[in-house]
Amino acid sequence: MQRHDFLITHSREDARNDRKWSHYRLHNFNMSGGRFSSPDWFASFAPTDEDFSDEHSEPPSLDQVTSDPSAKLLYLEAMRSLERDRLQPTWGRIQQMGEKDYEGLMVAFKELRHTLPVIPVTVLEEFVGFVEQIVGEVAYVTLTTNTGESLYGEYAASEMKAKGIMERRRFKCRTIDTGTHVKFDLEPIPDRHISEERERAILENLRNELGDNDGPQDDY
Amino acid sequence: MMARKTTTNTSASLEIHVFGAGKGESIVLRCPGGEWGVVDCYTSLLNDSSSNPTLQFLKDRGVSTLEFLCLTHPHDDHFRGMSQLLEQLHVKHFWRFSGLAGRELQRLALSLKVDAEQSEDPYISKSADEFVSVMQLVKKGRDAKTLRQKMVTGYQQLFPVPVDTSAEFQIWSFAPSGNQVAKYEEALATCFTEDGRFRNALPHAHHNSVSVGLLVRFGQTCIVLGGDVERSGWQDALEELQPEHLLANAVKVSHHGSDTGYTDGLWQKLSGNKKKKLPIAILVPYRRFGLPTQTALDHIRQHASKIMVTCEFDQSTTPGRVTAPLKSRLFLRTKLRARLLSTSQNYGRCTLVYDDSGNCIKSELIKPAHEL
Repeated sequence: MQRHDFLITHSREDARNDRKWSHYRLHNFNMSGGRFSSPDWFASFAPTDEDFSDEHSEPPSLDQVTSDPSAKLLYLEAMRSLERDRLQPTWGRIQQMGEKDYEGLMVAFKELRHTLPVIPVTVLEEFVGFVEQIVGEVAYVTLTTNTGESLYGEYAASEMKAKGIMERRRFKCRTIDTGTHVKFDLEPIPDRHISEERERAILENLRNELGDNDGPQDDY
Repeated sequence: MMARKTTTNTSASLEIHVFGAGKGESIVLRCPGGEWGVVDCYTSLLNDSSSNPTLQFLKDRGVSTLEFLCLTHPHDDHFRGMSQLLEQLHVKHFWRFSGLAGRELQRLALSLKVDAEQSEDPYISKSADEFVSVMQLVKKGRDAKTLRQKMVTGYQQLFPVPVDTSAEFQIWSFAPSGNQVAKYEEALATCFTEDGRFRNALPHAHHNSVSVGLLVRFGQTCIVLGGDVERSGWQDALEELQPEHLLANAVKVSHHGSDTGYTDGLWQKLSGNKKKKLPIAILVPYRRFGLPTQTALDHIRQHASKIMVTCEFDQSTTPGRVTAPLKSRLFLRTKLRARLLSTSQNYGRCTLVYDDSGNCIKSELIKPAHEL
């Protein structure tokens, strides 16, 4: 998802809120003697909780934005766009003043994105996982660190299977700190291929070791 | 229904010792006649027999011969370490789950071995090797005519040998039923292609369907050893047995206290619908599977005079300790309910001693075993 999506006014309620916040920020901007107020700026672009789900890329953190001087340029461009799009009610209908044009803002934002530092993704821990057993919808797993420490837990069996991780099979598991939240990656460790010859050799050994006469005729 | 004698020997007693450390279980029986027997065996370290709690317990008591050794079903938490018993003790009778004989047993062993090689997991690999070792040692004993094997199915007398339905001390099986064995064999057949090549392993829980269940009787005393008998196995047993057959003084709870380890009406039958003294329940937790479950515990509690457990386990009310790195571990606890697996191999022991009138004359808990 592109971060500028958050700027698009998508409902009447949103439009009202945007207008209110726009005035509030400009007021603060003037009251502070034109000094750039980064928390306010960031608030206008703050994503919702939904945007922080696993599937989305991460927005720049507050520190990263304010540490860059070009953030001020972006702020000014955003303010210009918001002013241009200031809404006014006419006969119960919401209309925009002027043509809605975010192109300038998008260009500025794209340029800025290149200059922003990349958020470091930290691998917190790596495990070798093992699916002990699947009972109904629950997969019982054990995670072992390279120091031999083991954790055990449960996970949705359907999600494990969807990733190709089956019962009595190993998988790689990494916990990752994305800067804003922690997530994990699961990846199956592929099975070793056993050739037909190898399988035949195992069976032959078993025949020698166990014999064929383990039948009821020897039972008591 | 079998006849039950009243003992005249007041010093004779039946001892049951149940071991567990959070994975796997072992049960040692001392018969009233002084013979010893073992039902299942588990040790985590296969290369060190001195850490095998079952073997050490028997050695400490100077036991060199086992009248019987029972392998309830082919799960490693019930057979790991059994080869050490077969190697170091003289086993006279070996009882095992029914349904797989000769080439079928080879197929089961093949499926375990190939599966282990495919997964490249050292623990599975060692378990598969242990299963083959156990079966190999049984064959060796049979070849040398020092050991006799019995494949257990349905309701049948296993002890004494030869069978004596009027004996004061008897051991009977009540599971697996023929029905469960047939289903198991069918399922195992699907693990192979038509030309006999291994296709995929049997789902892990399927092996429970052939679990042996035992009734240990001494006069008026009855102890039920549930193995890992699952709900369908219990349903078959309830249909086959008269209610009085299951009246128990003590019960080794089946399948580590899982929700699938009992069926409607089972515990009512075991406890005689509360018209008699309630049985003592012995539980062997399986921490990795979150067993026993709270549901099973609540159910058992209604029908048991007390619950003894061999070791500590995580109850749903205790969130568990979170260790560093905190961010990662907190996340895993939220997402997977992940808990730290104790590396302690501290086997607890629950011991009960019964006379032939159904009286528990001694009970002992060796830590971390405790009463709930």
